[in-house]
Amino acid sequence: MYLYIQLALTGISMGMLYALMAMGLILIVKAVGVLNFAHGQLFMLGSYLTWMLTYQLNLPLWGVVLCGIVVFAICGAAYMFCVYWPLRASSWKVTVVISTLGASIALEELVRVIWGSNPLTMKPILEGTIRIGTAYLSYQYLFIFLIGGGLMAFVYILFEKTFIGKIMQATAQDRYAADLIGIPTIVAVVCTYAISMCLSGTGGWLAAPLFLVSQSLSSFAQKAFAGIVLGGFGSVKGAIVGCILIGLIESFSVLVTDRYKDAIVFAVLIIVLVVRPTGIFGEKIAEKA
Amino acid sequence: MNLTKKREFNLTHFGYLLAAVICVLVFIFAPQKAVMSRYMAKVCNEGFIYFVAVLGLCVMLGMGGQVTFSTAGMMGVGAYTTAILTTRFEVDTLPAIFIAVVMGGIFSFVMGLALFRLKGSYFSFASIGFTTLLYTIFSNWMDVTGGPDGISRIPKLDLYFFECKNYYDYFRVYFIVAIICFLIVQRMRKTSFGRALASVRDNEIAARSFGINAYMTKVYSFTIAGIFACLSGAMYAVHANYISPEPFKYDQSAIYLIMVMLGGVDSTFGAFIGSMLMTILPEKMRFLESYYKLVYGVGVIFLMVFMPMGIMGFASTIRNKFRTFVKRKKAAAAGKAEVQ
Repeated sequence: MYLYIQLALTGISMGMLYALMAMGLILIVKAVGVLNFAHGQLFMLGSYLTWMLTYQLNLPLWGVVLCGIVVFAICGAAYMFCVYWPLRASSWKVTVVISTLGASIALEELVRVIWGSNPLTMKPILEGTIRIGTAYLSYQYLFIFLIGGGLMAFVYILFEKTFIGKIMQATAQDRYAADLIGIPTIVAVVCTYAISMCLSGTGGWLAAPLFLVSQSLSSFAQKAFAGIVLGGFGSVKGAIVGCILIGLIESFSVLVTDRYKDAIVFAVLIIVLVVRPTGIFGEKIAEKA
Repeated sequence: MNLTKKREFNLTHFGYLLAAVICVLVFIFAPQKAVMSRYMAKVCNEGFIYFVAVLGLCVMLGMGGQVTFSTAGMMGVGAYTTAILTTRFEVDTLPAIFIAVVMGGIFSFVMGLALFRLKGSYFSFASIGFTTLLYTIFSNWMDVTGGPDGISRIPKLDLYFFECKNYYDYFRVYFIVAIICFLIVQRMRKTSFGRALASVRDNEIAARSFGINAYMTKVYSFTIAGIFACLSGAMYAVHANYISPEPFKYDQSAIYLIMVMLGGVDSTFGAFIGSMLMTILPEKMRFLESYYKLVYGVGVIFLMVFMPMGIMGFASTIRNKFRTFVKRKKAAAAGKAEVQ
C-alpha cells in the first residue's frame, strides 16, 4: 500500500518535470507555430547554469533563484534571436525545425566544452527523506511537486489575467492581425521564449539533484513530447495532464519490469494514438482551407 | 548519379550518356588502392548506406513534407532482422536482407497506419516516440538483440555469384544499389503517386478535394521510407559485421534530416551530395577536435538561414539569376540594335 503511495508521488513529481518542459514547448508552438527540438538541451542548460550559480559563483539559495530567473530569461531571448528570428520570414516551417536541431547539437557541445563531459553532482534543496509508512521519499520530489505546481499556476495567471499575457495570446492566435492592431509581436515572442526557457530551466534545476547534472538530461524531452501527444492537440491543460500520466505510467511500470520502462511508456502512447488519435483532451477541430 | 544534375541543366540525351559514363568510370576505377585508401572506401560505403536511408526521407520530407524521426529506428529494424537471421538461423545474407526488407515494409505500413492518425508536428512527436520505443527494445531485449553488447560476427555479403571480401568489393555493390535506389526515387517523382504526395505536401485539403486519399498517400510514403531505411540498415549490418543499438538512436535520425536538408530537399541528387558530405566532412575536419560538433551545430543554423533549400536549391537560384542576367543582356543588345 505504502509502496503505491510512494510510486504515485514519484510519478506525479516526474510528470511535473515533464510538464514544465511540455508547457514551454506548447507555448512556443502556439506563439510561432514551430516545434523546438532543442528543448531538452535548454532543460539541460538550465541545470548546468544553476550548478554554475551555486558552486562556481557560490550564491545562496535565494540568490540562485533570483539570478537564475534573470539568466534563464536572457538565455531564452538569446536563443530566440539566434534560432528563430533570422528564419521568421521563411515560407517553409521545416527550416526552423532543422535550425532547432542544429541548435540542439550546438548547445550540447557548448556545455561539454565549458563544463566537461563528467556528470556533476548537485545537493538537493533540502536533504533527507520523508517517511510514509514503510516507504521513503526524498524531499526533492515534494519540492518538485510544490515548485512545479506553483509555476503552472503562475503561468496560468500570467496568461489569463495580465496585459502581457493578453499580448502573447493575441500573437499566438493570429500573428498578422495582432501586428495590424499595433501589438508589438516581437515583445510577445521574446517573452514567450523567455518564459519557456524559465520553465524548462527550473525543471533542470529541480531534476539535477536526482539525476546528476549531465548531458543525458536532455533525453527528458522525449517524455515531454510523448506527454504532449498523449494530452491532446495544442492545449496546455492537456499537455500537463498527459505529462503527469506519462510520469505515473513510468513509475508504476517498475512493478512489472525495470528494463522496459521507456518501452512501456511509448507503447502506451502508440496504443492511445490508435484508439483515440486526438489525445485525451483533444477536440476534433475542422481544418480551414 | 549525375542524372538529376544534368536534367536540371536541361541537357538532353547527351547528359544522360555522360552521367552513365561517369558512373561506369567510377565503378571501374574508384575502388582501387591507388585511387582511394581502404579507410576512404569504408567511409564512402557508409556514405552510400546513409544515402539509401536518406532517400526514404527524400520521399517523406521532400515530396510529402512530413518531418519524421523514424529513419534510425527503421534502420535498426532492418539491421537487427538481418543480423538475427544470419547469425541465429544461419540464413544466407541475400535472402536475409530480402526478408528484412519485406518485414520492414509490412511493419512500417502498420506503424504508418497508426502514426498518421496524427498530423503535422504531432506526427513528428509520435515518430520520436516510435524511434525511442525501438531503441529501448534493441538495447534491453537481451535474448534476441544482445542488449547493449549488440550482435557480432555477422557474415559478409554474399551475392552467390560475387562475394564481398573487402571494402572495395562492398564499394562496387553498394554503388550499384545506390544508383538503383536513386533511379527508383527519381522515377517516383513522375508517377501519379509522386504527384499525389506533392499535392498533399502543398495543400492537403485541396488534394483531398481532388479525390486523393491523403491519409493513405502519407502511409504509403512512410512505407517506402521504411523500406529504404530497412535496406540501408541491412546494408549497414553486413558491412560493419557488428551492430549495437547506438547508431539507431533518435539523435541519429536528426542527422539524417540534416543530410537531406543540406543537399536540398527537392532534389534526389541533393540527397546524395548531402549524405556524402555529412559522412566525409567529419573525417576531413579532425583538426577541430572537440569543437567539431559545436561548429557543426552552428553551421546547420547558418545553413538554414542562408541556404534553406540546400546546396542544390542554392545552385538553381544562382542558375536562374544567371539566366535572367543573360536574357537581360540579350534584350539590351537587341534594344540597342533596334535603336541603331
